[in-house]
Amino acid sequence: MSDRSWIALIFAGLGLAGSVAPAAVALWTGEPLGWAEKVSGVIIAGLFAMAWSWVDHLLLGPSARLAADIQDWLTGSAQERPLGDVGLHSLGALPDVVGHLCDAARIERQGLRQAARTASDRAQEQRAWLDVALRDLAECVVVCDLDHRVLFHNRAAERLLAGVASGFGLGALVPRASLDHALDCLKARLSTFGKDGEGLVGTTVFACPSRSGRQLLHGQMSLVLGPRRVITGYVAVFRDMSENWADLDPRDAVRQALTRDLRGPLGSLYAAAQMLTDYPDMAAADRSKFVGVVAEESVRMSNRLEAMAAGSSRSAPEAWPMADIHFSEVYASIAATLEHRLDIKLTMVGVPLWLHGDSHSLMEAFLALFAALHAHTGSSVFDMECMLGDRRVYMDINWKGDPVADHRLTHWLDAEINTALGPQRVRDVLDRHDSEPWSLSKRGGFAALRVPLPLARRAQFTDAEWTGLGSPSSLTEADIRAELLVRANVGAFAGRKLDHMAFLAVAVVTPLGAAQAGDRRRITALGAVRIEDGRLLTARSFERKVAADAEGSADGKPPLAVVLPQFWAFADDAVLAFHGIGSALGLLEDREGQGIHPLVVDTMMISSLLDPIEPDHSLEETARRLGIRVGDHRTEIGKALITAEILIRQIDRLKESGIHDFGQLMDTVRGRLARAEALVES
Amino acid sequence: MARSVLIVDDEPNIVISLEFLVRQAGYESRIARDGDAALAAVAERLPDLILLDVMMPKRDGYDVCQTIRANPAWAGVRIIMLTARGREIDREKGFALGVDDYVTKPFSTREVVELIKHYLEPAP
Repeated sequence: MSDRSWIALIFAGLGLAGSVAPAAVALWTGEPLGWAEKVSGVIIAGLFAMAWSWVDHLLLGPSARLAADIQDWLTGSAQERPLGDVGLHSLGALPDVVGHLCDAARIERQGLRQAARTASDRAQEQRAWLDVALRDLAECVVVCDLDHRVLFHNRAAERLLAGVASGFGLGALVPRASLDHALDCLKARLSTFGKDGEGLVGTTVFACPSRSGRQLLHGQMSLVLGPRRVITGYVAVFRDMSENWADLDPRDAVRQALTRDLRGPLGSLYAAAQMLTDYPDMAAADRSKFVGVVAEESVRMSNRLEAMAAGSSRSAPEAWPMADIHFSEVYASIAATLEHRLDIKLTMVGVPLWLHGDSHSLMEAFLALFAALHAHTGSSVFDMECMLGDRRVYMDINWKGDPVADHRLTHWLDAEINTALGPQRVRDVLDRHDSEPWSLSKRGGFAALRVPLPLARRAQFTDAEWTGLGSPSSLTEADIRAELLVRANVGAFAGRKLDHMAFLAVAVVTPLGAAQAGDRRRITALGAVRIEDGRLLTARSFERKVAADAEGSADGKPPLAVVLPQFWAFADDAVLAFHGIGSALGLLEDREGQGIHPLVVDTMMISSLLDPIEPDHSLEETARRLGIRVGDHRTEIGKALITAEILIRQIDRLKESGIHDFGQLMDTVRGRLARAEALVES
Repeated sequence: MARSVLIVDDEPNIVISLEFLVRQAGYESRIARDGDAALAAVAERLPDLILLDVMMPKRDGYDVCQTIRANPAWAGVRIIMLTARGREIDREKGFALGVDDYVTKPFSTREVVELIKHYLEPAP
């Protein structure tokens, strides 16, 4: 039964009760039932009937019509027109208010639909433009999501990658490993350079065969970044380089002839000819030998040249696909694979650099070398370090033990590896990078396998990166001295050798003037990197941006209350190293407030100890003096890395000055501070 | 007693010239055709200087150089590397493993003689 029926029944009941009520009263009082009672009963019943009629026509009816209209509107059948007229009613402003609400919602919906139509039209238009722009491009262009599903491709892609038009994923058309490796490299680069280095992410190139195996493809990949720099997909551009590949073999042969094969016979020929010229009076027997050499070597050279000429009839217009690679990308791939395959722990030390090469085949070559080293040395712990030379970047694989004999290394270089292009020797990959590795001893009982690689085409560090490196202190020198003196503790570390201690180089970023304003706890970013046994462990770093307010920020930055416990857990028992303690006082006071007093060294203070006549001990000048190339100083982690490099070099110089352990260093610092105080007071 | 030069090369035609030059310069010459023979010759009697080819069978010149430099008893011997490998990185590797000088084939015989004299007869 509907609500309306219930209300009608109630009214009917009430009307009936009202109509019989006067008669009931007369009966109850014993008075005779007169006309007045009869008339009043009829009037009461009539009044109830009228009341029902009013409720039904002016309240229930309009409410029901309004509800039905809203229902129609909600279900979509009447969204394009205003709500219907509810007629005469006593609902007050309710129908008008509901009408306005629906009108507003209708207009909003129309706007949204229009915006969606416009966006869709624009997307179609852009797609059409893209299609037109890419239609005649010889390169095949494919846009994919992170699962390698093809979102867009041009016509060249249909010709080069059979199956792309049928909806196959890109991973089914070219080796998925090549795509994953290129994607991992770009992700690692994005992660390394973070927000400030978007322009550095760029593209990466790789070579791979098509799935059919009939073509060799030159691939180039770049990331598609969505809002907040989330990676949403990638663009891959492919070119058929099968003909170039065929040309590489003869070209390699020419290169080998020029650098190696022809030089032997030419050397013999040249020497014999000089003998005959320089010693005209030599004995006939000797002369005969040299004439024989000339004849024999001429024939050898002639044969070799003929073979070369036959092999190099085609030109080789392009070199092997190589790109600038950041060392951290190569490291990330190698470390993950080594840990998975051989349970080898690989640590990156030093500052990562840019180099130029074929990332995937280099990774496979390094994996083969690591496997051989692991089998030969029995070691499962290696460091990998990148060093900058004048014309090359040197990748050192370090381990505790003896160097590898060159004949053994030669054997390892002949090992076959599986690259994206099929089996090749480690030597072939390294030759393509104009590399010749060797093994050497290092201090501290370490040995290394050194692999030289080409320098990146891009600059390692731009000039702009040298600017703004100073460490302006917001405190006076006396304040700094006082703070340092308070913290010149040695704890239980008095006798610890400096080059066998764990340090944490820390950079604290505070807003300009915060400390001067007495607000030492306003930290906007923290960066730290660990040093152990004199080695800079780049992979063990800490980097956090800090939100200004206690709740965190909309872009995901955590508040200081969250970051500080993470930082102290990361710091563990390492001695903290700052370049200028001024900006770090808030950090230290946080820990000291918990009753824990971290041990601290100040590289700026050590610099003034080591080079007392130098006027400038800023981070930039100290780094310059110690021959440290300053990399990305714009980030807190960049500053921490520079501080760490400074400390490592300072420890070497301290040892040369007879300061070997932490206690000696702190004694020297205290002495220096006390002398400075005395000078000020006098 | 004449100073001795050990010529280590598997190319007989280059050995002919080098041996002639060394003798003409007034030094004693000995010949080794591969890396193993070179180390045996060094162990038998330490030469004053070694003309060492890089690419040889069994044991290459880098390996011979590394082995010699690892033995303190052989520390005084001078090593001039002769190689057909013309890349700069080969030269760099040679120096890293302890050679004193480096000559790329083809070479001027006069320069080789001058180089030998430079190391065996240092200026007073």
